[in-house]
Amino acid sequence: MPDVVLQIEDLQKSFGGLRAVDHVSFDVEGGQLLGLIGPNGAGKTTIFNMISGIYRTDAGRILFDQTDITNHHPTQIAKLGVARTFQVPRTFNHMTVEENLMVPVVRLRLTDAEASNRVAATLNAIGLYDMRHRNASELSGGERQLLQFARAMMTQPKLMILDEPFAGASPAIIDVIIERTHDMAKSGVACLVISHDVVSLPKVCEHVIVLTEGSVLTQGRIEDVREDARVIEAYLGT
Amino acid sequence: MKISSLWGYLGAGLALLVLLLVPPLADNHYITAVFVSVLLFFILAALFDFMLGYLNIFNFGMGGFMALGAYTSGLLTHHFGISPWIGLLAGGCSTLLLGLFAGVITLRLRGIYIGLTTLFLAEFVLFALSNLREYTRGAAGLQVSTFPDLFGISFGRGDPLSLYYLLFVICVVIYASLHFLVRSRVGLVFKAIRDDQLGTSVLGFNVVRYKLLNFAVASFFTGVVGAFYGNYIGILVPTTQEFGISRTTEILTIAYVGGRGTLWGSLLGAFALIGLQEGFRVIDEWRLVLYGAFLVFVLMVFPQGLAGAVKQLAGWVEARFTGSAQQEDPEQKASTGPAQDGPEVTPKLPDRKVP
Repeated sequence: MPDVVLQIEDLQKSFGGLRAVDHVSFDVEGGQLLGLIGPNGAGKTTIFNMISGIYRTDAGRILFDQTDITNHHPTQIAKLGVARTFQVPRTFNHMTVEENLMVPVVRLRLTDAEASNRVAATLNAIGLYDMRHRNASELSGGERQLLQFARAMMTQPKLMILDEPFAGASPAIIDVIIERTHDMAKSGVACLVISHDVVSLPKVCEHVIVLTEGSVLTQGRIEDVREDARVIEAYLGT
Repeated sequence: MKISSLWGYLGAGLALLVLLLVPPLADNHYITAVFVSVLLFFILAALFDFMLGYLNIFNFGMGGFMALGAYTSGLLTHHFGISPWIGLLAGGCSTLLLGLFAGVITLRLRGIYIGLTTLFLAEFVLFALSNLREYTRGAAGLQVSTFPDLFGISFGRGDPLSLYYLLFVICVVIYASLHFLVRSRVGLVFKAIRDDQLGTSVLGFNVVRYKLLNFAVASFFTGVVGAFYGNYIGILVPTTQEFGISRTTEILTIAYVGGRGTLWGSLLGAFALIGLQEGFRVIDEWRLVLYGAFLVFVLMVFPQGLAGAVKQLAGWVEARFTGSAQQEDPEQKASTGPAQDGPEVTPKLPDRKVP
């Protein structure tokens, strides 16, 4: 049985009177590609923000690699091996594409040559090598998605959490992200993906968890979930 | 070698030549005093830029930090007979401690809150210096002794050229340290934090620690410069004109006119603004009007400061010679404010290449 990398136990979070996450529990195994879907306001990004330490939890536990990381600082969580991307890309816009990828390498304590080679290899792998000297602010939204995805990859994570990685991306970029996500999963990295893209998500994940109003509605194979009347109702409100 | 790099080396060489040769060739105390002012404001503005241009830390208390450095050195000499040479380092150490304290209580904050807290701390320092009259002599002024001779060179106030060269050496050491830091991997993280604090945090970097490092380095060197300044002027009075918000505003102005996020732009800013003030003395108070108009002109026409203007010129020359447009310098763009979204173009993925 593969190792469980991430355990979410009875997670809860409220904003004022609004219960954004309500008793959510699930596990993610090493190398697993798991989708987190649901209508707007279902609590998907809130869960991501709690896993990565940006939000404090109200109750519940988050275990990463058997370590309790509940309410730890984002820096500590990242150091343990959790990498994430954001729905609106948070690239370093006044730095070049190459420099964006050099930043995570600083923490890996590589020699200059090793760092350059690793950055160049990653730039090639995502198809941004020719743009390496361009300012990140000059990239399109999709290219910035790709860049922050690559930057997260550079941290050599055990768990990658991707928040709407296909938002604003062209089909060519989406294909690169899907391909690289599969590569990571093959090397044992667990990936948790939020996406509204019903075409692209099945290409990444076989299994999904459906959230609605902060709770897990159902989970299972994506084809089965799609046919579930409760899921259709949650999305369409009929 | 790129023409713009060549320009950089030429500019640095020219600046060094002017700074090294003009004061002795002019052999004039007034010219030397102007060059001392240029160097003092250049290095203080570069330190301000090191914090603001690379980490968005607004230190509104620069004047107060200088005062602490100056008084530490002055008091140690005055009361304990400690050499002003040691006072230089002691001034740096005392402001380092103040910087660490200020950093610990402010650097979790952002923007204007850091600025306000550093301003309040600086005001606290000035009030304390004013009120501890039995030690500092308050408004009566504290006499600061001169640097003792070193290697047979006199650094008395009658030898302004020696003091100028001493300041030159201090500036070279500080500038080289700052330059090394911003070009290092640490500097890369500084710039990442400046662009996106949360984005850097989720990569596993302790943002507060990096800010603290930046602030501590800048504070230490500000104290060293303050200690030199105290010995240079000879008498310390804790007034707001000397060490308060007006002093900080002068430093800030030179940093902005020079060009944020460049370090070397501060030298252009110092030459331009001090040169303007001194060169137009003949028109008395009207030079202040001219000064104000110049500030507005530079910030409107060259929002990236004089350094940005020089870079534009270098880019234009490079384009003329090579026929290629110069790539915009990301550090310069950063100096103008928040990021602008890039054009939404359909990306064309390039063929993979072996690096």
